[in-house]
Amino acid sequence: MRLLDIEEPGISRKNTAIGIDLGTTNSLAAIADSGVPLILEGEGRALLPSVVAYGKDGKIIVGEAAKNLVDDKNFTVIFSIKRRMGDAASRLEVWNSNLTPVEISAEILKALKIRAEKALGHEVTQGVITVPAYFDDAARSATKDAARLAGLEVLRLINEPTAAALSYGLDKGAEGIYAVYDLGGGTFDISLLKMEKGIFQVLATAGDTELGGDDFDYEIAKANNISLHEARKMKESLGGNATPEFEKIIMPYIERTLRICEDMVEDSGLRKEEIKGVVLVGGSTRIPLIKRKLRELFGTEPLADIDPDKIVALGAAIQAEALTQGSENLLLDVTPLSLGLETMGGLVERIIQRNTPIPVSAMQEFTTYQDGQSMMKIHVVQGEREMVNQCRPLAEFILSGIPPMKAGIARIKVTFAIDADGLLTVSAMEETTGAVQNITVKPSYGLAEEEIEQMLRDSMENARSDITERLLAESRVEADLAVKTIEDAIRIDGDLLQVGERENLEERIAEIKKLAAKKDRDSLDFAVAELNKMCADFAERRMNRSLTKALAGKDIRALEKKLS
Amino acid sequence: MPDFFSLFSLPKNFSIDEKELERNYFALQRQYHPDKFVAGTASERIAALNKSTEITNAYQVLSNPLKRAEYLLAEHNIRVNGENDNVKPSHELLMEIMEIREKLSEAEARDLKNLEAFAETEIKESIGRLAKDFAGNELEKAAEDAMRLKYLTKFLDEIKLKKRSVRPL
Repeated sequence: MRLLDIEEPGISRKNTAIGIDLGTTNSLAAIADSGVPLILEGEGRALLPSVVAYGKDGKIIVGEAAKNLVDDKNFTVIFSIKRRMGDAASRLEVWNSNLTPVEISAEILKALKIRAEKALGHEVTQGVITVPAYFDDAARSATKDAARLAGLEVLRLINEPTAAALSYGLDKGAEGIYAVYDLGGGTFDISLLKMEKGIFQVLATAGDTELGGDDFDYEIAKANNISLHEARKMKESLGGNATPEFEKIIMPYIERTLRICEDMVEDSGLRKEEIKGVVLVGGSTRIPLIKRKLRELFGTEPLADIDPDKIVALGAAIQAEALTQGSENLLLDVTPLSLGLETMGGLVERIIQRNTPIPVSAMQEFTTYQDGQSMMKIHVVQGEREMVNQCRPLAEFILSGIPPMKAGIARIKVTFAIDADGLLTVSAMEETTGAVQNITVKPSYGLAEEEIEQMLRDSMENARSDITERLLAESRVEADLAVKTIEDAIRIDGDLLQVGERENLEERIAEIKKLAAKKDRDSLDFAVAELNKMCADFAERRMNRSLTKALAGKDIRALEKKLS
Repeated sequence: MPDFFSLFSLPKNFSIDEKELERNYFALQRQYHPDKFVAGTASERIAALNKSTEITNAYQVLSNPLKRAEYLLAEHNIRVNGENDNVKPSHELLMEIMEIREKLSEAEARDLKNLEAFAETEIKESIGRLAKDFAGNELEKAAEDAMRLKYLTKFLDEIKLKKRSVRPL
């Protein structure tokens, strides 16, 4: 138990971590206190429309006010930017400048940050942000970049249905297997979760990132020959009273979601009868036709006791508190899409299957096919199809420096690792000759580190201060902290170090101290990252020692009991 | 790299208590999952990610009967999987699989449900055989039955795909 948990009641601690639902149509911020989440409103409203208006004069307006500027010639108004997040390199032309989806989303996040700070009366610096479970690697990276641009540290990206399940499960004390049906403005997700004794385990997830309530608007506009704006108003005015005409228009979309549900249940190896309930998420699930169809499919009345517009943000807030203040609960999520490599003939070789729990890694060995081949192209894709050109390209890189040898002799190990945010890192090395080459690639379609820095530089807040100086100062603080922590660890648990390990660490620490006095931030950051990597094994041994101490004489089952 | 079975405090057998495996998997993730170290030092965060990844990887192997069998066989240097295999299926097994595959290629939409049930029964049967093989330390038989299970699993996936392709819209 952490000290914070036994603080005096009534004294509110400063919780700077919020939960954010960054939606296609609307976005929300929430905060949790002792597991009880609360929506942070702005101007008396819970929902912040995910709409950004750019004025000719450089003014930026977000939310309800932006929505009302649609017909104003002095403003360019952007709706549903979330639909473009997977295409992070795309540009939108706004008043002679080219904006990325990341920058536009950052404006929405900034508005939420300001809203939260106003409501709480203190600064907010960290957040858990939700993404559709079916978001690919590109869209996830882009979401993280947008948060960084908005001045928020992302503690974790969590999947929207998982956040909803957390909120529902904790509030209702639900146990067993539940489906979460999430139909948002622009995306559809379905997830199956097993909830028991504080473990929220995602069993399977599926979806369609190009299907949502926006499609209904589009169809209504087409059928009635009206504008999208008018169609949206028309849909909202219907409320719970859907006309047969409306139902006919949206039926094909609903059928598509139901087929995705069926396939997912089948892939999970479960029977529909084993599913205890279906939790509804997203404003579109208020449509009676959807409830009716889900009742037919699952044979149980869909659960909508928590507002489907708010449930995701509430879950994100619970997780933000859990990550910063400690919690007995644990979320175990999966990767939604398979990952693979291009092989001969444009075929995909799967390395990690979809619905594999994360964090996870997998290794595959390759060899050269020509004598003296010194380079090899590695093309990483995401998706379920057989051919490379039918999947989403993620990264392409050249592994060079393979020592000359006969074809088929080189052993090139390619490792895929997916972290707890669902983000992928690929590394490759050739190890026959012992000359190990290790490279780490970030997906190539996203924004480069330099681009993000440039954006930070360009942003209004940073223009006044000298960003180079600030970043260097931050790196020095970071380096100082890393060195101090490790020196302390060596003092306390030095006996856990292996032969030569202490010397290596001390050498690296001395180097960092020298670098910190200079002005080369990149070299300093690199050295600190290397030091932290070098220390990971030592840190694990320390973690194990403290666990052994805490559990002296108890076996793993006693631990399980203690925790549940 | 520690042995997967000892990581989960389980005896090294093909037959395992799946409930106990899951319980110990959860207990280990509760200790090491990166979510528990968000506020930790950078090296602790890396260590937690590495350890949690190792736990997931091992769980993926032990919780799947085919992968569990392959793992146990690999310890005896018997490889039935991939390009580096050093054991081949018997003639009888190949004939059996060809016959089954023929059924699928001839199957009409209405036959698929029966075929699926057939594959599921055969898969269960193969797992039962593997349990006996390993209990009696008959590794050659285990290798053959692991390959049988692999073919059947692939076969079941194909039935499911075909079922989806003939589904009325």
